[in-house]
Amino acid sequence: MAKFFAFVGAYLKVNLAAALEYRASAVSQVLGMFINDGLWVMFWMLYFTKFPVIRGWTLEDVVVMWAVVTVSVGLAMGLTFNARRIPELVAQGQLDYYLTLPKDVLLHLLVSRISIFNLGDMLFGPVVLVLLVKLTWARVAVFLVASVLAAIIMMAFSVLTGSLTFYMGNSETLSAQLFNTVLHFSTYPAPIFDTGVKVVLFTLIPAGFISTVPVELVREFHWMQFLELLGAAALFSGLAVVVFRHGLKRYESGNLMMMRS
Amino acid sequence: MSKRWLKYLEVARVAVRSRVAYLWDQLLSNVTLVIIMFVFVQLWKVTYAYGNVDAFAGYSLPEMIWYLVATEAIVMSMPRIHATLEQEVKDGDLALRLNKPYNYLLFHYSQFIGEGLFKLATVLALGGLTAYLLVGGFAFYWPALPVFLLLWVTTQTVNFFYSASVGLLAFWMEEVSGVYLLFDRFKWILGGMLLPLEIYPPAVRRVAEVLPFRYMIAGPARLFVKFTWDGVWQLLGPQLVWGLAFGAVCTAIYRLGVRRVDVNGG
Repeated sequence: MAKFFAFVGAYLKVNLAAALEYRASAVSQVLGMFINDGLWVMFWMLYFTKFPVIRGWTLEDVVVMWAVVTVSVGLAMGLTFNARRIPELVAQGQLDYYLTLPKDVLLHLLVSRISIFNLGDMLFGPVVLVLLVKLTWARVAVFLVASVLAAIIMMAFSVLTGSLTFYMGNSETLSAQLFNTVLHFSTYPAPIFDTGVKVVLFTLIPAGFISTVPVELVREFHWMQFLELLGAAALFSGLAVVVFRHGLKRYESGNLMMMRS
Repeated sequence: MSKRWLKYLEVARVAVRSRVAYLWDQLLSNVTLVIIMFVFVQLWKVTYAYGNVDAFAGYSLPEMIWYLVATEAIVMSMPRIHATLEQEVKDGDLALRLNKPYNYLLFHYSQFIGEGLFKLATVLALGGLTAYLLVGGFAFYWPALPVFLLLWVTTQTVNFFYSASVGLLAFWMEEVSGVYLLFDRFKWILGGMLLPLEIYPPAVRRVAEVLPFRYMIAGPARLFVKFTWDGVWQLLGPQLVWGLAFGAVCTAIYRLGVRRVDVNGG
């Protein structure tokens, strides 16, 4: 375990140092994402000025939802951005580099690129939470754990959809659409959807686990619901590892000569 | 029309044709729009049912959804001109274009409009179909159809110079995507991208009314669902003023930036 953290930590350190080499652009990206997320929270603030409660959800719930989603996107995409680039890497034969090294291919692939944009998301969540939500230490703890589990589900979903490339050829557009779909559904209160859509949101498109369950846990903690979230994170990450490894057997080298940057 | 301008028309035509070749790719990449529309319809259906009213701020449910179709059509039909210009500046492709017999900005403007027209058609087709199936139609004023085409061009002209100005900052910055996101999202917030400005609280609305963003999104979208001839003139005037202002800023940035380009043979 110590080796795992040392490996991930070393990559993170190098990636951050590389990104901060262009400090002005890094700051502008983080700030840009802050404003982007702020736009949506502002939309909801304007909305709730007119309609204070929507099927039991208040502005505070929606703010918690945005805090959870942004932190989990920040963790999942900010720190392991390659989870979204799997189709591109597979289609271009760029997995060769990872295959020649002794580390686990999936882990190595995931941690080898960060996204400064999404690190802006990671910072936005706590800020908006502190500014707009009444907090207790217990709620903060639940928020943090639930956000990490949501991040694991999001990353696993991205690996799963990205692994379609092993079977379908280049699935870049399809994977991007599926990821955008899960992200979009995650940023709206689940009670606005009817039962049929909700079933999809807790199975094929796990947006319900990424936002609704964490929000309900922060509002009122229930062990059963927490175990459901934990189970979903375990199931999706297990599935992602199995599908990626199975797909990897079908991978054909690109025989490309290229410089990695 | 003189040859001087015909070549830009040709650039726009080629841009349309080259996009048509990727029709299915374009349609697939618009699936997100269907999801966005579906979610918004659910949200507004619940909201109208909760409020137990037929209209909010003068918008019925179908009008609210079609307003969103219009704002999405404006925003999603915009090619990523800031990214194109940034890439050309960074890669040095800009230098290759400098000795061509056309104005650099007008060349990109023509491509922007040509490609945008094609995107507009696909976005309106998919977004419109989704809205129609979910909430039905609304009283669209069909005789004004050619006017909407003109308004789309004038709206996107203002948007082009606004976005291109940010893209050209690449002459001085390593990465402009963060700055662009900032500028773009301000435009969304104060331009009525997600909600008609009539719904905004009075203080926010007052700020939005003195800025140009409402002429870049909300103004044409409002006319789309609530057409009046007076509204057309009230929109075209400010668009002309802001288009000229952003055009002047963009040209100035370009002229300053292009002085920094070193061209080497080889």
